[in-house]
Amino acid sequence: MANKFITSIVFRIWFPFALFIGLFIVFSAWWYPNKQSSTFKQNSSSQWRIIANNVAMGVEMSFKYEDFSMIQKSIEVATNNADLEFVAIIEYDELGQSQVLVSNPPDYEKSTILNPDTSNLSILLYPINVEGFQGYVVLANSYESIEEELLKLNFPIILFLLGLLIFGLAVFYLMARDIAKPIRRVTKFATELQKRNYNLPITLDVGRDEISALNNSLFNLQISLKEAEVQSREFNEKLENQIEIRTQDLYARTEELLQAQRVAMICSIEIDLQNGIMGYSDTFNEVLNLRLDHASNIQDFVQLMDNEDKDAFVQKISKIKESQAGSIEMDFRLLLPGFERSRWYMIQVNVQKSTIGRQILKGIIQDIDTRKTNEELLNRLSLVAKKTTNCVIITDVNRKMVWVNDSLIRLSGYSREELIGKSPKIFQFEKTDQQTLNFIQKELYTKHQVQAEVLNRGKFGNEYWLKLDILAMRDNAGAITGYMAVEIDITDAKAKEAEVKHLLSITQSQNNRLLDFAHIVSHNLRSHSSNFDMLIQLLAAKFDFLKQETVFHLLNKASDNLGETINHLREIVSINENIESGKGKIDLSDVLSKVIVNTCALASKENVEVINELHEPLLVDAIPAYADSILLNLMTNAIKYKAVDRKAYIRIYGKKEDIFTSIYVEDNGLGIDLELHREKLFGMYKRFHHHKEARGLGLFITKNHIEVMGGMIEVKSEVNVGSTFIARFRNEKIQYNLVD
Amino acid sequence: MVFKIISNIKWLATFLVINFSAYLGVVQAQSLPYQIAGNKIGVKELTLAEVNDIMKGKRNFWANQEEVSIGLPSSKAPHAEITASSIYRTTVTGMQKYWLSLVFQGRGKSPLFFSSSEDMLAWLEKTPGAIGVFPPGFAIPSEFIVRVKTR
Repeated sequence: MANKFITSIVFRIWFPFALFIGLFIVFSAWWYPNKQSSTFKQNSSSQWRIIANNVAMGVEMSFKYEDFSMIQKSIEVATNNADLEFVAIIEYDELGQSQVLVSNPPDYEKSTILNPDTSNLSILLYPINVEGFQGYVVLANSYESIEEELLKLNFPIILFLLGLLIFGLAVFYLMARDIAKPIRRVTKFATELQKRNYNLPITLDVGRDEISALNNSLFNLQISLKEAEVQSREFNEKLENQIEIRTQDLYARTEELLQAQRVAMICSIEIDLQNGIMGYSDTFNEVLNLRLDHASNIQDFVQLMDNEDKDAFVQKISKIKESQAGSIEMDFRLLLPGFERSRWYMIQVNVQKSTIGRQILKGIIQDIDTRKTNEELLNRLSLVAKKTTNCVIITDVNRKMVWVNDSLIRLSGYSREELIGKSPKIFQFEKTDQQTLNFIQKELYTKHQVQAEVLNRGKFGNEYWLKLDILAMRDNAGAITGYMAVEIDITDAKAKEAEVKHLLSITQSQNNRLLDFAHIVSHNLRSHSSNFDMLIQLLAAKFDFLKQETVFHLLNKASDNLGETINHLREIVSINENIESGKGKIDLSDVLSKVIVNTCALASKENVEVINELHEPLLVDAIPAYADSILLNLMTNAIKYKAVDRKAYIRIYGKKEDIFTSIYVEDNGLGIDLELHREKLFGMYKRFHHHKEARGLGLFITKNHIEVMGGMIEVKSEVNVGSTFIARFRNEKIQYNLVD
Repeated sequence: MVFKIISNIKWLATFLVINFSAYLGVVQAQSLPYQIAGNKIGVKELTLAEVNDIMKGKRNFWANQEEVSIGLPSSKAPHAEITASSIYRTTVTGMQKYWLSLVFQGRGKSPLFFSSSEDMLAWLEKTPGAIGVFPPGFAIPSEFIVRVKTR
């Protein structure tokens, strides 16, 4: 800052003059007061000496001629001298000692007069030797008063010189300013031109001096610079436009490239051969499903490779490192964090020199897992299609066959060459159902897929039934590219179906007869059994002694058992009879609530905790009485067969599924050994625990009930752990016909 | 009335005492070792103390505004010693030193020293406000004589 200031003033045009004048005046201000001081001191010294002489003479005249006028005059002169500190007359006494006779001022310290401080005072002594008086005159001046006098003396001239300095500087400044005006003007022009301000009003100067020449040069320079600026601006604008276009193009291309990489699942890669550091493009995460720190160098990357690929890759890298040339192109698998199986990738890199001159491997990594998987799948499918016993036909969009498998060739008798390019109509003949063909046409047109059964004929007249499953094939854009038909030869099945239908009609007839028989048996036997029982009761009433007979007791018991058996038989027969009566939508949660109310006393008595988790409505198509019977039976079984060594519970919950609604009745009771009893679990009169109330009919009836309604029952059980019975009820109504 | 008479008597007695004392002083002045003469100094008699003060330069102007000019016998005059010892209580040199100090300090106008009484009288006659010390018995015109009251 200081340097800048000094530089700025030194190179001002008026500065040398001002410096000269300033130095001259400063020198004068130093020299003149010194000169004045010297002269003043000399004059003062002479003056004081004269004063001292006069005083001494005055004293002498006072004593010698008794004339005091001289001393009076002398002292007036001395006291009129402003810088005189004191004047005194010292006399020697008889012993030669000095003592102050008199001093002016009168009260001045006598000891100071006799021993003055010469550092502050200038002392002048003048001897007096007259008859009657021996002594001397002392004159003292203080340096301070001398300096004050000097200042008073020099002040006007210093003031004058200061004024002169200011005046001189001002004059020179004004002169210099006037002289420098044209220079300043051209300097301003030059500065503004340097700041690229080309619109200054520079006018041509007609003078012949250097400033005018410089001014005119600047004028010309301004014109040139203006033109250059315009050209430069135009050039810059064009350049900026080009750069903008190129940049946008570059961004677009980069984005396109990245987009293409994303679509193609490609990631650019660089591997520094010297330090193994790897670099990737922005698609790294999407392609490799990795964090950067998992594969920031080649060692980490190799660790992720499948063992089967690792060695091959490492060998290739080593080879390239040795030769500093070559490329790698291989498929490999990476076992990535978060994936259950290794994924397929393809790497394609070659040796290049980086921008800083290092050897790098540069190229791409592509996720080819989908392609690989598809290839594998396609291979398998091709194999399946080729080797399957089903016939496979692939047609183009015009339904001309483009591919058929061996099975079709075998079944139809045509060769592949005979079929390729032909329509599948080649297989149809007069027996082929026209309605079915129309249905196929319509479905393919509207839904692009169809399932149907058609009768076809082979090259050699052999007729065969096919179950067709035709599906449109589409490209990635969704456009139909052709159709694929998988055809199952159901000729045998059709024959067997006809046979089954025949057998079924026979079975239906037999079943009806059996049902009639059951009715007859149950009703007739019931009446006979009732008569038999009644007769036994009559015998017992008539022949009292019979009550004491063991045989009679056994006969009575046999009669009761027969009645009970007939009742059971009626109950079972009635299951199938009641199918159509009372069926409809019911809420299983309602049914369960009622069952729980009815069994709560028994559960409480047996100390079994009932946990009902079925709170939402579960609507099923069922017969309420059967549903009630099923749930009641499962509940009472769970209570009856509880485990006594632990706190018993029953937990009921449900689940609605597509076809069925399942009710789970879970307990921690005795459990059933399913290994032993699975086959006969739901059989009649089958008991698996020793319980006094067990009849062996509950599960049998339950199974019949639920199956009649189209449902099913399953069980999971473990001895001493517990059982879970799963009753699956139909959600929708079905035909409850056993035959159908 | 009685009281008035007594008061007048008191005043009368006082007047008589004072006049008697003055008479006694004039008589004493005649025994001083010098005479005092003055020209137009406004008074005809001075006390001894006043004479001492005036001679020691302690008065610069008379009552009539005339400047005091002092004439003293020089060291060559016969009554210089008497004058120095009686007025200044010192020697002639001491008297000179006294006046030197006084003049040196600007506190007094320097006196004039005369070697003869005639010269002093001649100076006195032509100098208004002048006062001089003359030896006893020197004939001083009566208009210049200043009587000194010693009491």
